[in-house]
Amino acid sequence: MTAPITRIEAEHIPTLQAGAQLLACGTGGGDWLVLSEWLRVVIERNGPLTVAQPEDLDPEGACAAVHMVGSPMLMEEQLPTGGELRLAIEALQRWTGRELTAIAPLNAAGPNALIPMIAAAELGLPLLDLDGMGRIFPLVDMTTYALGGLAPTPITLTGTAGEVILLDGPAGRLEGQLRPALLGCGGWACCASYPGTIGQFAATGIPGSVSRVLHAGRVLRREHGLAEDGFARQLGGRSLAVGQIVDVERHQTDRTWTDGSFPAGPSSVIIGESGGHGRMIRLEIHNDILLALADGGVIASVPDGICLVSGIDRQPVDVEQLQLGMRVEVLVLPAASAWRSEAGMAVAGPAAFGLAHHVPTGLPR
Amino acid sequence: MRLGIAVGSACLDLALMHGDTVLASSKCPTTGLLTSDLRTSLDSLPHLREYPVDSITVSAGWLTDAVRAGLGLAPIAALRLTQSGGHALGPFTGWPAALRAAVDCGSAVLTGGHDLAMRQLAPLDNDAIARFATTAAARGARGIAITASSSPAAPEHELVAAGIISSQVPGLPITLSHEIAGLGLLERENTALLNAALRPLAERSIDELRDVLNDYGLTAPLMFARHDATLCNAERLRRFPVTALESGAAVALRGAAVLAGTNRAMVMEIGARSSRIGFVENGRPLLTRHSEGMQVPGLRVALQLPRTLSTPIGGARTIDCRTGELLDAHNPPVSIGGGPSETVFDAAVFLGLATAPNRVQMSALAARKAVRTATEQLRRLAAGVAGDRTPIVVVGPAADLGPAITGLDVTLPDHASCAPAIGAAMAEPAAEVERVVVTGNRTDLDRSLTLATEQAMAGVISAGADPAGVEVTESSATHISYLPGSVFRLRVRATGRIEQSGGRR
Repeated sequence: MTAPITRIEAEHIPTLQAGAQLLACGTGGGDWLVLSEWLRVVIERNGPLTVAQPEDLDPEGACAAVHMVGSPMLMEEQLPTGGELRLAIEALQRWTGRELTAIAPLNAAGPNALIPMIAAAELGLPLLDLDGMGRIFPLVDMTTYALGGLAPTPITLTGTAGEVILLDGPAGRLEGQLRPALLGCGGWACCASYPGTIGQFAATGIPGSVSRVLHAGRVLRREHGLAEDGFARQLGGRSLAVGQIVDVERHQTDRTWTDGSFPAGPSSVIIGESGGHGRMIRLEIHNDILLALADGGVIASVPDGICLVSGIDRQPVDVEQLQLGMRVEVLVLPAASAWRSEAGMAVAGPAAFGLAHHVPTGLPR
Repeated sequence: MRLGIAVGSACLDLALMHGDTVLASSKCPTTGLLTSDLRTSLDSLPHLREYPVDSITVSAGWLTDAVRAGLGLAPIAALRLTQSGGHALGPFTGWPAALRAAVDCGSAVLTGGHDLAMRQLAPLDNDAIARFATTAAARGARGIAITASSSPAAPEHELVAAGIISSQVPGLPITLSHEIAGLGLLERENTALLNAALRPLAERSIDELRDVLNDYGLTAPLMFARHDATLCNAERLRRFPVTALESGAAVALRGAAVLAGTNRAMVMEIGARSSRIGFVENGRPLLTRHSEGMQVPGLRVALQLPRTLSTPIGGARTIDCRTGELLDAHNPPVSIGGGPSETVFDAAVFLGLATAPNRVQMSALAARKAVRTATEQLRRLAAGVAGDRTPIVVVGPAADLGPAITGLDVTLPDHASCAPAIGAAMAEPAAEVERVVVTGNRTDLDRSLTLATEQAMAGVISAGADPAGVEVTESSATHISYLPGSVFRLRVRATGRIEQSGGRR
């Protein structure tokens, strides 16, 4: 790993975006032009933002996770007015009676890598170099913060029309309230959640996550001579297979939120490995890529991140954009060690996603 | 017979095709004056009148050049319809300053638009729209682009606003964003704005082209290559000229695949001033999902453009003939070989790596250094992409340099220098429809998909396809991540063919 990042300037944005896209594990919904422009506009107005190691700050200082929920694709359509993040943070501060001294990412991957940067630049607060997922998981309470005892609630949601919604109560009841509220806001909303102290975030978060986004971006963009070779290794992962997509199955579903399932519908992708053993690689996808099988045997699964890059120029590929005939490389990025505990696997392992498989043991990590 | 005409920034290429066979091709340097360049090129194919030409496809590189240089574009106004409460990112966000200055004739963000569930975000303010139209026209706007939130799912507000504007300022060309692209407001708006700015130029140049072609007895239907190497007819291009952006890169890739007889290749197009690498898959250009292929920094558009990497190394890159150093890429361009300044091409000729009538004298050391530097840069460009036994095809005006200068095992097909014209001649009509639907059941989803399919098929026929040969080549309903399972993005793509007869007249 490279040296931790301390400042984020406008020139870092394309690199951060590339890294965030890769770490999104095949999801994320596109290019997030809106997010990167929003970040650029705020940095140009308020100056660069500070990224801090939590041990350099007062552990008693108040902190919260700042993020979006819902579809990043819809954010591209129903644009932010620019006031949503401040409004969400101020609403949380009013409810808890504590003014934030730092901001933490919920997950430093996908659009949520950039959102807390916008909030930090907007409010002039430091951004902690950690996160609660190390990748993207579909639910707000699937974090190492929650695993360590920090509650996601109270949480505030703000929509583009000026809606402010505050949800408080037991974490287990959160998703049932949150998704309908989200649809009411038009499909995406800005959030402040996990109110706590910097010390609590330091104790439960995955360290170095913000720096990791930048590093991944530099590898992808081959900055500083990175990734001339050992591409997967430089990302801290390994390559599972290179091949061509031979089938994409979108499973129909009439399930909705009311039965407590995950959002969106599942799909499967079959990749015919080119070279090697010519295996058939099957990816099971439900928002994110959950499982990779080779000729029927599990070769990777959640909580490890499984992601796709173009087989041609190694740019991240989104599951929503997979098409027959596309050449892709499948990479696996090992999960943070917090997820490897029994409690962690219960939240984020295959069983949590209803997959009756187990994480294979003995694979190189 | 099909005639392909590729107008690039340096050359104008012609190719006459019968099936996959090239009957004739020509290449002429351009002067920047479209009609006289075309006449010069047509004169270079003296037997043209003997062939029954069924269709003519033009790759209108001058439209791309106009956007790159910010020249020849019309002043236009932007109207965005969305929720009230301010906006962090207004129209023209992220545009290069020079391009914006060339077209921006005022913008307004007014209330309107819908959310994903088709609920109105805010009512339209008819008076404000009428005032905006009047002000824009008074400032000299020659077009308006209207973009409403969620218009690909709910176009009503764009249509109503267009009605108000045309009754206020009759005859002012209006571009509606939902006719241009799918979800992604900023990119759709940018594309609609560019379209509005290109319309007067497209109108004018299509008329000029038609006149010249008629003078040569070429009265076959006039088609234009699009950004993905498919085509549309002239009437459609008049309304949607933005779809021709980067068509030059697309047809060069398509042409390379046809010439090399391959379905999959890495294509290196070695030009006079620059070279670029693109990819062919299934015989078609590999496209970026969005705007990474756009060669205007900062400007993001909602078109699937060819994924290319480029370097300012070309055959006409000037060199210092004493030291062999490559000189500034911004030096005034010279023709490939034949001076007045020494070029990479001259160095290659001197070393016997390429042939030309004139062999310029220079030091062997300098020539070797120039070729080596160029080779290293092109190799670095190629090494950035995973080779994986992909065959490499070289095309472009300086393609002859390919084998020597790349130092790689490459295919140099016949007619390689005219690949863009060949790709243009081989283009087929296509149309895409992208929609978002919120539906509770399978029947509704099927109905929406059927409707989108009909729209795509109508689109490809109106682009010039023979109605008998229309095929749906892609049809998908994808769940949108992180939303309940009832939200789908529909994408349908239809392709067709244009009628052809054969034989010499």
